[in-house]
Amino acid sequence: MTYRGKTIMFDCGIHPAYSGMAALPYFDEIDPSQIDVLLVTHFHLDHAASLPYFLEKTTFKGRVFMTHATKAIYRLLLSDYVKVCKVSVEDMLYDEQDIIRSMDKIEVIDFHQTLEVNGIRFWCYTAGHVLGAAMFMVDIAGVRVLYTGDYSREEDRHLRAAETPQFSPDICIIESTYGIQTHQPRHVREKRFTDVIHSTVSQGGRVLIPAFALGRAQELLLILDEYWSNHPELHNIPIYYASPLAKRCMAVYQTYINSMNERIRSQYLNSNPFDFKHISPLKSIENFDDVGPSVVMASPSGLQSGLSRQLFDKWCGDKRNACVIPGYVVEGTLAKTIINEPKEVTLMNGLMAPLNMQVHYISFSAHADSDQTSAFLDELMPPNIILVHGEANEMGRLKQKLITQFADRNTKIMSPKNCQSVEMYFSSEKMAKTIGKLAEKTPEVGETVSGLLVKKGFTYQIMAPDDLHVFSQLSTANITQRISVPYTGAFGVIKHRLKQIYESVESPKEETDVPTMVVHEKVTIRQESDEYVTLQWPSDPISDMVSDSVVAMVLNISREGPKVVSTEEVNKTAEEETEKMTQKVIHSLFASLFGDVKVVEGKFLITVDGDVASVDGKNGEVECENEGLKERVKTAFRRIRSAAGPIPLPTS
Amino acid sequence: MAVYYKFKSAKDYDSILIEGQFISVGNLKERIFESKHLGRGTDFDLMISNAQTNEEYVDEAAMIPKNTSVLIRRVPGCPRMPIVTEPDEYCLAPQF
Repeated sequence: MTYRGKTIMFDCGIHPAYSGMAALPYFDEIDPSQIDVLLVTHFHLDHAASLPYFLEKTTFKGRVFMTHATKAIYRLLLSDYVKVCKVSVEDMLYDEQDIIRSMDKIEVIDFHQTLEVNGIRFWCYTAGHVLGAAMFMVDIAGVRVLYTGDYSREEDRHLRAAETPQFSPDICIIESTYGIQTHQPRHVREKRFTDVIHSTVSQGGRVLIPAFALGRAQELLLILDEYWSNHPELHNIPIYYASPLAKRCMAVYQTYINSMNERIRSQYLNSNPFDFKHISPLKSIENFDDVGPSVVMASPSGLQSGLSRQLFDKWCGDKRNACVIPGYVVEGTLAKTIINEPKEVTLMNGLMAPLNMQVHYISFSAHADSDQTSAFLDELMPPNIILVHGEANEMGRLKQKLITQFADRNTKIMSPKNCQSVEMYFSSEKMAKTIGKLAEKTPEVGETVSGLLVKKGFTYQIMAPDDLHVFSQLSTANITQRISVPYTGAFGVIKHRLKQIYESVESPKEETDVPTMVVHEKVTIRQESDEYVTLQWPSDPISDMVSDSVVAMVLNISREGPKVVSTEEVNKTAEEETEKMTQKVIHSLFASLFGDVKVVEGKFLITVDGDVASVDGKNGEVECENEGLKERVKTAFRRIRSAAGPIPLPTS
Repeated sequence: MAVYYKFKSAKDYDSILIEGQFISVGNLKERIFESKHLGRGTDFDLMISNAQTNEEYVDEAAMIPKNTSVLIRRVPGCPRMPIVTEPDEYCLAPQF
């Protein structure tokens, strides 16, 4: 079931008539990794037996929940199932190790205890049926779904009847095992049961009761024990409860007395009601002395294999014997076949044998019958009903009956086939509660309320920011920032500039040792030293903006000062650089030629033997009294000039 | 030569050895039924799809090349039509 992004799986069983992978549910149609929660209602094989496979061998990574009694019995039942499978079928889905590993992953929930996982709230009601069976009510974002699992509204010797939830769910997923059939009244049923057994053993026959070791078996044992106590003539006829785990099963039943009904609990004060006086445990067929009439209750209930099948093979030929089938039989099992009393049956070794023993079908399987279902749904009045867990024709008939019953109310009844999905739409109002300071007075219509919206799972609350740490695990914190900005100018310059931008530039109230001012009541500027100033402010959008602008402005001032100097340098062109270089070169070359060279106002003064020649550095004009010197300097300059000057490019 | 298959809800791949380069869809289903002991005539079918391209093999006679990885989905439905098992290596034409 998926709703609002949460996925839940109810029950994880196998088909008792098949074995190996063919018995698994259609797991390929779902994505196991998407499932958040798996809820198991009770320990019957068709509800819990594929759990080890699902946990160990698929990509499932959610959480599993079941009641305490269910978990304890699940362990025993599945170990037994694995042993039985190992004998008859080569291909097993899982082994004992998988079961043990799965036990660690299963979490327990108590009746009426509400748990919340990932936004999904759920709790369970008593379902009757077997010990520990539960009906789960799941609440996601206000939409409630009730999954009944297998339930019975009739109280029996040791179990309570199913509870009716106090409010109606939006969807009810309900079992339809018995369709439109009605059970006989309880005492009629019990009388039939005991009569058949009594007459069979009186004639000297044996009675085989194939039943799961745990579950309805305990109910039947209580009935038999009571009957035997009331009939002393039967005391020498043994009753056996055959199961390798007989003792351990009874121990579990004795532990969970508190989930049983009033009658048992009051009986427990005097003596242990499960301490049977006339019933003995039987571990295996080797311990069984088959002399004379006896009553044996053995598993499995479908007579597919194991102890019950061995006994059946032994006894089916004798017409004095009887087989009493006390529970729902599944299509495809031997138990279902013999109900129709065929002439012959196939034994375990493959041979055919005549079926002479009497077969009686008296159902104690504690499912709701047609009347109980109608009454339950009538009380509950869910707007949507989904029928599951039934045979197709019976389910169809039940659907028709319910449609006529609820014709006047707008109830939708669906009976999906395997792997057929049902989609329903629910619209819900989104509600947010104001708590704390904001809830002190009720606002008027049209008034604005502002606060923090806190979402927990699917509930919304509105509260004032100061209340955050009171009503949730979150808390608010304040961040103060401080930054140092290099600044070598006067503090007054900053103040002057800031006053042009901001209205409020004040001196702080307390005395400070260094020049300080407070801008816009939030940002504090201090001149720590001649090198830098620091800004400090509590972090929030407006203060951040103010401090950003102050920092930009301080940096701007720092930049403006040296700007005057730098422009001169910038103006220097590359040309000037080269010119300067050339002059230097000329000067050094003249010096190496003539010795005494002086630079005066851009002219070179060359002195040789008392004669002075003046050369203009730029145009090469030479002024000299001595003609010889003049010529020499002129030539020299021309040559130097051409060496230092750029080689003109050939014009082409 | 093998074809690797995995049930969609399972964790890893199993392999089936085939002779030759191809195996037909119908034949592969048979082999999987056998190897997983799913039995015959139980009321479900297998839908085979390519693991990389997610293309579903609808036609029973379609050929799957070796070393392909396929995903299997067990779906409820009528039991499959029984087919005559055919040698799958060289014959690409359908046989009766």
